[in-house]
Formats: sequence, C-alpha cells, structure tokens
Amino acid sequence: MSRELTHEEAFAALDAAALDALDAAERDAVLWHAAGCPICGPELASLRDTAAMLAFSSPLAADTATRSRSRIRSKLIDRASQARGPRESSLPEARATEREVRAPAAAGVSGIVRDAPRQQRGQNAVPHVLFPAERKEVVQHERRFGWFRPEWTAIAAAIVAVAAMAGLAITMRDRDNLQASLKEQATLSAQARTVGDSLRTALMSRDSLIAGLTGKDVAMMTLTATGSRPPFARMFWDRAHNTWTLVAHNMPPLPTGRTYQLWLVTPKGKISAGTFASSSAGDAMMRATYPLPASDLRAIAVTEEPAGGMPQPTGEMVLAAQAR
Amino acid sequence: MQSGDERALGEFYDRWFPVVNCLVTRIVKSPDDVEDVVEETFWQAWRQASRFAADRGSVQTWLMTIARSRSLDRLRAIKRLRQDSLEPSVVEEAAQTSADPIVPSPADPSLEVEHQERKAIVLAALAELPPEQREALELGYFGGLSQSEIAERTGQPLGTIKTRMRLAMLKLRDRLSVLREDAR
Repeated sequence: MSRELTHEEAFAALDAAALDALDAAERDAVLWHAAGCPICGPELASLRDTAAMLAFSSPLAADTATRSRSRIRSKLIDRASQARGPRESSLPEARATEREVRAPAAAGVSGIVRDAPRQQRGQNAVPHVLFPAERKEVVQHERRFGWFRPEWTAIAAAIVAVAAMAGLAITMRDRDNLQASLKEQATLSAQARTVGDSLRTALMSRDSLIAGLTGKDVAMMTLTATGSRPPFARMFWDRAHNTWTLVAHNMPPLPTGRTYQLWLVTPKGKISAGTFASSSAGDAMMRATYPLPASDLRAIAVTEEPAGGMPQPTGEMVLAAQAR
Repeated sequence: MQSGDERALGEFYDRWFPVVNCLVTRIVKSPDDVEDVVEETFWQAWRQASRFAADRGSVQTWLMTIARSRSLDRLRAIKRLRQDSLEPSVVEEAAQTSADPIVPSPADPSLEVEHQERKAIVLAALAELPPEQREALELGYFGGLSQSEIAERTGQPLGTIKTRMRLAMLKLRDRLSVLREDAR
C-alpha cells in the first residue's frame, strides 16, 4: 500500500496527477488523499480541466481529418445501431442466412450454390449451398432426366467459386468482428479494474478518516478563538496510529502568499504538523501523521504564516486548544 | 447520449471530433491508428455516457481523458512492436510539435470558429511559457511520461521537473480560465 501523504505533499503533486505524470505509487497516494480532501479534490478537478485544454494545441493535417471524419461517423452510428440489435427486426434473419453460407466455407467443404426457392423479392438474396451428398443426388437426378451437359459443370464450378469467395469474405468479416469484440472486452475489463482500484482507494481513504475520528484511542480537542464570527476547529488525535485530523470552519480568507500552519506544542518546543488552506466557505480539513507520546502534548495551535510554512511560528495565532 | 439516442451520438461526434482527432493525431500519428483510436474514443464515450457526472468535471475533460488514455495505450503498443524490431521510440516523436497546418474541418462552421478561437487562446498561453516548462508539460501530457521519466530523459533533477511542471500548470490555468466555463 502507498504511504499516506500529508496534505502539503499531496497538494504539491496535484498538477502532475492532473497530467497523469506521476509514478503509480505516488499517483495512488495523491488520488487517495484528494478523494477525501475538500481542498485537493476541487483543485485536482480544476487542474484536470486545464490539462484537457492542451488538446487544442495539437495540429492536424487537413486531408487526414476530411477523409476519416465521415468514415468514422458512419462506423460509430452502425455500431451503435447494431448494439441495439433486438430492436432491429431484420438482423436475426440476416445472421441466420449468413451462418447457412459460412458453415461449409469455414469447414473447407465445397458446395454447389443455387437460388433457394424460398427466397422472396426484397429479402436478403443469399444463395443456398448444397453439401457433397446433396450434390451427388443432383447429378444423378440431372443424368436421369438427360439434361446433364459439360457447360453445366463449368457454370456450377463458377458458382461454387463465387460461393466460396463469399463464404471466405463473410468468415473474414466475422473474424474481424470477433477481434474487435475481444479488444472491446479487454478495454472494458481494464476500465473496470481502474474503476475498482479508484473505488478501493476512495474507500480506504474514507475508512482511514473514519478510524481517525472514531477509534477507541482517539482524543478530541476543540480549538477556539475570539471574535464576532470566530473560527473553530476540532482535532482528532488517533494515538494508536499517530494520525491527526483537523476539521476547521469559519476560517478567515488568507491573503495571497499566506497559509495556515498547525503546531503541536510540547515541553521541548513547537512542532509543525503541516500547512493547509481553507475553502472559499472557510472550511478546511487536514490530516497528518506524527508520533507523539500522549503525555508530551501540551497544546495545539494554528497560526497564519508565509506560504510554504515556517520552522517556528511567526504569525498571528488563529486557533488554539489546551491538551487535556 | 445517456439515453442511448444514436442521433445524440452523431451530434456529439460532430461537436467533438475536431479536437479529439487533433489530440489523437498528435500522440499516435499513424493515420490508420488514429482512425481506430478516434473511433474507440467515441465508442467508449457512448458506452459509458451513463457514468458521466457533470458535477465531477466537464464533458471536455472527460472526453479528452478517454482520448489521451486510448492514444497512449496505442502508442505503447506500437512502441513495444517497434522495440521488437529495433526501430526508434515514438514517444519522443509524440511530444514534438508538428508544423502541419491546422484545419480541423468540422461540419458546422460555427464549431470551426469556436475551435480556432480556443486553439488560439491555448497556443498563446503555451507560447508564454518558458521553453523548458513547456517541454515538461508536453512530454507529460502528449508523451505519457512520468516526472521521473522526464527527468531521466532531459537529464534534469526530478525536483526541477516538478517545479517546471507545477509553474507551467498554474500559469496555464490562469491564462485559460476564460475557457473553463465554456467547456462545461
């Protein structure tokens, strides 16, 4: 499984994720974080929109587009129509007739072709193929009635050749259709795996978040501030897994070039747990992993700092809570 | 499309063919492969239309993601075949900008105008980027290379590539914000 990224690490990789330019492990970790992060999710969507626009920078030769445009369109509409097969009344009949001709050709058996008496005007005019046993009967019948002549043999041979060619063409078309179908199935299978992976990743992220909020070793602290519409936040500290989940509301908008930074106050000093930004509605969530003995935490604080964060707090304290 | 109306597929195809064809051509290049990939892109969009959720992204982003993914799949398949025959890689070729004239030739003249307008805006935004940032962006998007692979290919530190890509994307997003709402 991929290492869980801090918000800051994931946020910094969102552009590469939007361009699909991350190695697999890092990509999974970033997508996992973004799936559960109210900041990174919209940011990734926005960057993906930007990446998609790069398609407009691609040049194209005129003749290529003109030649292929209508051909692809026809093929697509045909495929879409055929995919709705049951609504097309003529399709099953046509397929049945094709099988009738294709079978002997595929088996390498030659046959005599003649017009099937059941054919009606306006129906698919597919010739009826006779197998060798039937052919012998026909010849005996023709000899008995005295109208067997060499020219009939030549005509029959020609018809057989035409039928064989038709059978071969149909077989090749059938093979192409099967190959296309196989390719499509492989594509669908790969897509299903991708969707499954994404869902698993999102689910794991949610599970991790829920565990970080509801675990038996989770301590909750409320961070407060003063003011007419003060920000407030809750910190969930999962001491069993060393994870910290901060959920904040009413955070004031940050000036350009500034960020919020979370601090863990211990007897030995103030430890940075990472930086974060809030949404336009003032909401924020950040997750961090940091091992700290339970007795070492004295307080938690959020300050406003220059973008990228500082090694020690320098800015105004926005939120704070004493450890209990 | 989501209700399975084939006429909608036709209209959708007419609307998006130019840009899909441009993108696939840029990545795949071989006309026969381009035609296959364009068809497979629209076919996948048609088959998966019911899964598209407008609140999770624009149609343009969704369709371009499919087109790019199918194109890179084909490109990698071609590359594997060429490696077997010791021919040069086509990945670098895909990231190079072609000098061919740009004529998307959509059926609807208004679509052609829209396409050209978008193209002009995107090209202008790209032109504002320093060449090394643009290179990182194009190797990633059109060449399907990861940042590590780009660093290896260009001989630059990974951190440098990450910075270039990040700066390029942020500048592009700023310049192309005018197009983002149109794409929805």
